[in-house]
Amino acid sequence: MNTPEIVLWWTLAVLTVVSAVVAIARRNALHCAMGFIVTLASIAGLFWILDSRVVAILQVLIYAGAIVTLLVFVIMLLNQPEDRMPLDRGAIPWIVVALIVSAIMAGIVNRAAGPAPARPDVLTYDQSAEGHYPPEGGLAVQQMNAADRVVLERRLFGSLRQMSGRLFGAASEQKGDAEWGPFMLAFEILSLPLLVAAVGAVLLTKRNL
Amino acid sequence: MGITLQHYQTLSLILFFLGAVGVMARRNIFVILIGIEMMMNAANLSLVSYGRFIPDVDGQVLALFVMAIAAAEICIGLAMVICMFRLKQTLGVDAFTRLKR
Repeated sequence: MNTPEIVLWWTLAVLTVVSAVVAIARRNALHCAMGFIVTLASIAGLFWILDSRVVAILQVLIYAGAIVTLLVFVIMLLNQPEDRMPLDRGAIPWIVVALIVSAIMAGIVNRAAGPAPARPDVLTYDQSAEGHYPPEGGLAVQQMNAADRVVLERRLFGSLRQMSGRLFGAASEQKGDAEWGPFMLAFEILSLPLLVAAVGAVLLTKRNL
Repeated sequence: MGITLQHYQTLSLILFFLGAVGVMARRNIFVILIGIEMMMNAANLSLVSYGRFIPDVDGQVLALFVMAIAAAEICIGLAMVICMFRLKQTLGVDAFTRLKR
């Protein structure tokens, strides 16, 4: 853990919180959406330094690229003037309750996470023993020496190859055929809510059914 | 001091709290939707950071699923916003209190 990485994390964290405050506190809904885009981008940066490049890229593509775009479209389509209503005074007790609960949760999570686990620099867990798919591409890699293999495993953590192995499955040279990944069923079933959402959105906004 | 799991979890909780405040304290429906999405992002951040520190790549896989469901949800949410606007010509949620009676 070196200083540039710490600086980067603190920069991203402060940017996330500040843009999140902007995203909920501005009077104009479009300003809130712009602040939310910055929040999403900084969270994508945090995903990147968490060795999850796939999720970082998809965060930018799906969240900032589709969800917020749709939100901005609808905001501008309805084109309402700024929110002239004052802050909801009745919500302040609930905000205090949320603050207390968040503080308690932070205490519990920080205690439960153990004595400050450092980010593992070297990933030495045995993927095949846990039922995960081997990250490497074949017998040649299995015959690598241990040090090279650790480096390869570290580079492959969170890579698209490993993610697709978990989602779809990987071909195995030992067995000679492919096998479904553990999340294949969930991945296929996931298409159903998306379809229902698309059809539902069209149906909801139709004037004459 | 290095960046530990607790850093990420605290950041996730702060983000979740801000999203919850956005849902509770604002009356504009768009800001409420943004608050809901912010809470989902906080959960994603928590998932991915746990996945990095265990280490287990399933945290990222679950984050992908959460992201896809959030996309479906905001699609329906915005369609409902358009219907709401057609009904009441306003975007303040105070106009939609008929369920209270």
